[in-house]
Amino acid sequence: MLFNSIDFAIFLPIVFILYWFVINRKLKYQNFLLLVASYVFYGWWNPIFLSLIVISSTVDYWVGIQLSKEERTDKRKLLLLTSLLLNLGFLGVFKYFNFFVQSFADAFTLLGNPINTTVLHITLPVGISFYTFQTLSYSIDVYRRKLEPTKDVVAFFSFVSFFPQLVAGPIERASNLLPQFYQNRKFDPVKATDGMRQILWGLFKKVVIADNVATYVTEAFNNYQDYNGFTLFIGAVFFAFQIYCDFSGYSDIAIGTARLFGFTLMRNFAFPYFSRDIAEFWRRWHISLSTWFRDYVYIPLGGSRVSKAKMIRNTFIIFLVSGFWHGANWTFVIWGALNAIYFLPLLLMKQNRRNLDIAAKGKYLPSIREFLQIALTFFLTVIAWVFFRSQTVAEAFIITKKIFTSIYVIDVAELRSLSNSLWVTTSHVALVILLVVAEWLQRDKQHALEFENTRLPRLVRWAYYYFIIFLIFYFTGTQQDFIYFQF
Amino acid sequence: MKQFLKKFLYFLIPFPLYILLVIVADPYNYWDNNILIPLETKLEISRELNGRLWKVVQYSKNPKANVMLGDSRVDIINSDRIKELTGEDYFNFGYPSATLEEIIITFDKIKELANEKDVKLKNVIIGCNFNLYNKFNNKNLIEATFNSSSQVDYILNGANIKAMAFCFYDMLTSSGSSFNTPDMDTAAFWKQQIEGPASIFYRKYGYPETFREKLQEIANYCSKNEISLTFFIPPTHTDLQDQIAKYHLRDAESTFKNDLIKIGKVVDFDYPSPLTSEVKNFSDPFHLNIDLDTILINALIKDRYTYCRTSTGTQETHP
Repeated sequence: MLFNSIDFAIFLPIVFILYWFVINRKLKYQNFLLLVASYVFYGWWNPIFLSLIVISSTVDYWVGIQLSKEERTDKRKLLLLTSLLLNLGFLGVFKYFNFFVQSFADAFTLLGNPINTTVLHITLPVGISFYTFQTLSYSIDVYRRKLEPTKDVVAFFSFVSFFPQLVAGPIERASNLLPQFYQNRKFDPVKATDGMRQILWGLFKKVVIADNVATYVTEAFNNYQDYNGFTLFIGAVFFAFQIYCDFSGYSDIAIGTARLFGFTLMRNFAFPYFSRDIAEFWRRWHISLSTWFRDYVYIPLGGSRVSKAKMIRNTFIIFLVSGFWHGANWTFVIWGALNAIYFLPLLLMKQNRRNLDIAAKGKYLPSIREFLQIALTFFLTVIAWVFFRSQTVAEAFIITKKIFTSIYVIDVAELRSLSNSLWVTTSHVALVILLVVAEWLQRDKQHALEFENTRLPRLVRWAYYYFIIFLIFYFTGTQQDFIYFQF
Repeated sequence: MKQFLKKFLYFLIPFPLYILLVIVADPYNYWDNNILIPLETKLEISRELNGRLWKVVQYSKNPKANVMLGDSRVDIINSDRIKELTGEDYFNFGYPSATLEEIIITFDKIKELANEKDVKLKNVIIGCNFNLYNKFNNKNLIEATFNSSSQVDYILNGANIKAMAFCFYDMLTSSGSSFNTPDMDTAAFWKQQIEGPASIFYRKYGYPETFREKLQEIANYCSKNEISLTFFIPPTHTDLQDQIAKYHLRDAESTFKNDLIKIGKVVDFDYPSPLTSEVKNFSDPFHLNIDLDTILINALIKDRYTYCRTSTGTQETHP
């Protein structure tokens, strides 16, 4: 079920009413309702793949219980290995099997010994990378004795499949989300109101920005041979906004929806395009994944408290794995490597933690220095996105080469061919500007519509909300899946 | 909770009003409500703004046995004139900037809609020019339009806001539609119409094997179900036809016409002829003047062929 669909618009109020009015104050029933709702939400897309979630949940629940009983290290390791093998096994089969087989065959072909291979013709289960990482965090934390294993089956199964964040995150830690299933939940009107505002902003980003700029992105990347560097750069800039609005829009809707049910999910995006260096960008982009890799991969490898050589190795590992997590394609691996290359100089010069606060704190505008830093970081990010969006590595290199060799050639006719109507394109650019301004003004908040403790009169706030709703209706493009579903 | 719900309900007040407005104004004539906006205004404004939605809504309400499919070059044929000249009741399912992908999907959907309402398809005419027969020209907006044609989807469709705004503006100011008025002199408009779209259509060409297969499937279905199928290549001005040579696609164009001939009956108007070489016969290089649609109707429905070639051996005639 898509967040931007009529189905969800009907589903959400039904679950909300049942949750707060029919079985209010009965925690077990509330959790059970969330579990049923989550399975309906996921099964709406493909009920067969629900079995994977059930298997993952069952095995990890059992592993947790066994870990609490077991004191011997070797047995505990075996239990953890069971969880890792099962979850990563699912990922391996459904997501990476064909990639490895194909890469293996390509390598043999390059060596002059072409081989025949068999590929699996299977559908990638939606959100598999998200929920497997979430349930893995439980097994690992219990193994590390950082978390008490749960004996509440319903709470655990609900935690793994919690519908607001099931298919595209934020990837929750068991230590944050699971305890919330044990606590009695009282309706908090302030939290719920802010949740609704966050949902509204998420819908605006997805429906108005991401779905509309997608047209230009598709045109530019599908016909990259026909365009010069500047036009392709514009296409890549649009993609930067498409992927940001698509993914952070989903996260906003997920976080907002969870708040309606009394849950607090972790923040996933913190206005990343206002970052002044790449290290700051990675503290603000897909936070739940970055911190997952930090806690479960980077730190166990020694993190940055090791020799320089190992520090470089660890940085590359975490960025390459992060790239590979996104998809079984070398383009994602190179995207990860490129970000590692951007990040390493800052780490080696111990400059990676110099921008911990928001840009231009307490001011309306950034200084020239800050502006240039933000612009440079954005430019570097856009170049990396070229690899992320391209179908093949060769295509990405051609586009990048064109951008660097002919970015100064501005061909108005080419730019016009990106879209059919100048008026429509102008309005889309204006909407992107509106997004940037709205987020810049609210950059010290959790999201752009957070108006708690504001002095703005209700009339103005409501007029603003209605205006956004109007834009959502008016600029609704063709309903598109969220990009991150494929990961 | 009570306070929250009260505030939320206050906030929602405009929405039932908006829904009521959509139902009463009914910009795409879903319920035939013409109290607030007259049908003529809707035809002039809504139909122009979103031809796909307009056609999907009208056909879903009242499926017909005779259908024409295609892009705006088919859309110029007036159904009332067909009725007047031939006595046949046709639904013109042509809409602006349709792709062949969309035309094929439209055929599948009308099959379903006709079946649902026990209407047996009798005559199907598919208009398709060479520029649509390109594997890269595969935009598809019609599927989403068909899939969102329930009452709820219709009410929430953003196209209604646009249509209502334009319709009310038109009614208040009596300004009339200006969608087709070029904002430049005729010669510049003509040149721009040739060079701009031609570049978009022809700069990247790929043989559309999938389209050919799907057209063959349509022909097989029609043959099996005793439906008369005609492929129609609408006339375009010779200035535009020349662009095919400019992009070195003459051979591909021949393949396109031969493919259609192998699949079924073809009525071809798109070649140099006294009809297509006269600028005054066209509103722009792509579109024949609306008042000349009689020539097309005579050939397609009454088998009176002028300014065209057919695959059934009829000689071209140029009166």
